[in-house]
Amino acid sequence: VFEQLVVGMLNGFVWGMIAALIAIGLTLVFGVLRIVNAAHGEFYLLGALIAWLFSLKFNFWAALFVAPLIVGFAGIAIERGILRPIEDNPIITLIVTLGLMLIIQQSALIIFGGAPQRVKLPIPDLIQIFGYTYPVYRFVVTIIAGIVLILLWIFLYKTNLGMLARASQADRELAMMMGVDVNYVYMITFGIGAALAALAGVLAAPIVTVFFLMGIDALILSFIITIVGGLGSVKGTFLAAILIGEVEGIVSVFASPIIARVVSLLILCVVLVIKPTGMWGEGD
Amino acid sequence: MRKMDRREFIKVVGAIGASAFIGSSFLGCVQRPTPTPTPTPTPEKKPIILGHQADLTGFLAFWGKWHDKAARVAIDLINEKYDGINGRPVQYVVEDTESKVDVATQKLRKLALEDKVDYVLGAVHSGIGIACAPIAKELRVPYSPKGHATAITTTKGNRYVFRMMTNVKSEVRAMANAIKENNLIKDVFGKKWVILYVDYSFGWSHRDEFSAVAEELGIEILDKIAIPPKTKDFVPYLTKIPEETDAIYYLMVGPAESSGMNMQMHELGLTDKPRLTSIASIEGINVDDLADALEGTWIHELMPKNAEDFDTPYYKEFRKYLGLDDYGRDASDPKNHATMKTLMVWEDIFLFKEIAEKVDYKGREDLPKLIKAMEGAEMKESLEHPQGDKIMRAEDHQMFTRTWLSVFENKKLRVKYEIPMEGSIYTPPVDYTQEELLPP
Repeated sequence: VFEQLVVGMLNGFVWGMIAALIAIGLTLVFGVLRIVNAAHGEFYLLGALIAWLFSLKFNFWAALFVAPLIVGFAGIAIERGILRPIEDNPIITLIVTLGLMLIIQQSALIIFGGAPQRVKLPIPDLIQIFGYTYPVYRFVVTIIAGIVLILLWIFLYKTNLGMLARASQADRELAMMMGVDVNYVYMITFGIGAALAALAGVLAAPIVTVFFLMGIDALILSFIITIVGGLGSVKGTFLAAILIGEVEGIVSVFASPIIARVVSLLILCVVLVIKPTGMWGEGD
Repeated sequence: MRKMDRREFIKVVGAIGASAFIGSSFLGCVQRPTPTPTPTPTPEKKPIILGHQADLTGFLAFWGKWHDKAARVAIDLINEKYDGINGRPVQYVVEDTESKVDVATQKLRKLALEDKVDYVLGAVHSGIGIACAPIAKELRVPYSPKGHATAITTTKGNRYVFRMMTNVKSEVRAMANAIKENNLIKDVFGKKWVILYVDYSFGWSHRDEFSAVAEELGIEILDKIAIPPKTKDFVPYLTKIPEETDAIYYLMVGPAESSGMNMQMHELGLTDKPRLTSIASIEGINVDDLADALEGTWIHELMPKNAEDFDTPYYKEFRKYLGLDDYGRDASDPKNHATMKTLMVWEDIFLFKEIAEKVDYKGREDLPKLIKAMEGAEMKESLEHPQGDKIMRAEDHQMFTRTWLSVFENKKLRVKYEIPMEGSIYTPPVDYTQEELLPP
């Protein structure tokens, strides 16, 4: 059982890191722009689709750089072109992003078909952990995700633009009065959020099946994580992602994975009752 | 600017969840086939109506769309070449279950009460078959589900339910028979097994039936691992397989899940071990793309996919009607592999035709006659029944016939053994003929 537990925890951690990338993108956009982006899961789908195309025609690893770039710029275009005029109205932005979600999802169905696609493991090697075989690729996933998260932290806390982003999140009016180009900050933040989800899509593509409905699963998972972690809190979202990943990984060793999902929803309920701002949230 | 507070956020998330759910339900609209133009009935020739409760959308749509096609082709053939049934045209009504039990039960009621169908071809989803059996009895409509779960013709069936195809119990018996006859435990598989199964009625049947033959085969089941439907990452389950395992018995359903599971077994190096499964585990996927992962997998087949190894004039003609090539692929689109169970829809429709003609079926008032004649019906290998000679056993309304055991070798599914009907027969656990039969 101990060996299984280790493998379960390991797998939970891998998933936690991938989920952290997606959920932090969502939480950043919510924190800074105050937009609930229902199309966020579709950026994850786009990343996975690009990874699939690249692994088929070119090279999987190139997708790691290309997908976040393409999707990031697409995110910037969406923010600038579609969301900018309606950013003040949360309900309208929600409806618009829901529409975007359906447009991207159904376009993927029309262009690439409804058949699920598998991406071959880019690193076919396996290692033995306590007698269990485990793909090396998943370690690489955690390392890449870890590096990106560190870079993101440096961006937010050590660069000028990151400081402006945090300032806009704390108080938009005040930031504007101090001469911050809030619109520019919004654009960049939305682009980064989309790029993070796309990167997660690329990393997850060889682990899961690339399928036009995969965005919804990612969206729901990120909502659970952001609510548990605290809205708009990057640190809280990261910790909650690892927590939820580990809980599901560990519980599924002892019980069926359905039970594992029940447990994480229970955590969500308990957090909402005891600390409604989320475990690491600062409150409104 | 108005900020969204936490309460509002949670409301909004709820709204998105609901919309996503509703949105995904609307996906049911995609690819919904147009109804077949049916011949307009002349007043004196009231049509015979065949209802089809088909999984046209949802997770079993890859089966449903082929079943729908087979039904249409068979009915067109009956109307054009045979001049209908008893000189009456056959009308086809199809209803989509969305691969959901609750929707399917409503659709069965609609077919029986509104369309007043004479016979219902049922869904592939075993849960639907189990849930609809009592409804068929209540509405007094003959119902022929296409699910394999054993319960449909044992604990959950009744006199109005027929299964015109093999079930998990008879299939596992057939597999066990071929394994014993050909000494495969010693030569191929080994004694220590693990069972992996999809966690719903179909998978449970496989788990239970295969465990039941373990003693007979002289094997030991080390572990039984449940995998939830719609799983995408199989590594957490596959790592539970103990190292000393000799062979794997598995059952997975759905193109995304089957290809994912086979691929990840390959990635984890589990494909060194021989695997045994039902054709259901590879239905709807492009096996040519997965050839590396499937190498060494033993498949129990209802009809050989590879017609190079087994063919008959009838099977040739059936494939011509369905537009299939010699490897069960859509001849016009070789990436699209047909589901082999499609044949059972075809044979089912012809069984109804044969019996309706035998009893001179005029309408639903003749239902008791129809059911009595179906009980114990024997069929000969023909274009109508390319699978081979078969019987519809009177007691439990369960069909028995020959099947095949094949293996993926050099990237192709090769037929190894034909398993005679006798190898799959078990004592009938129930006797529906004792139930009272009422006219509708």
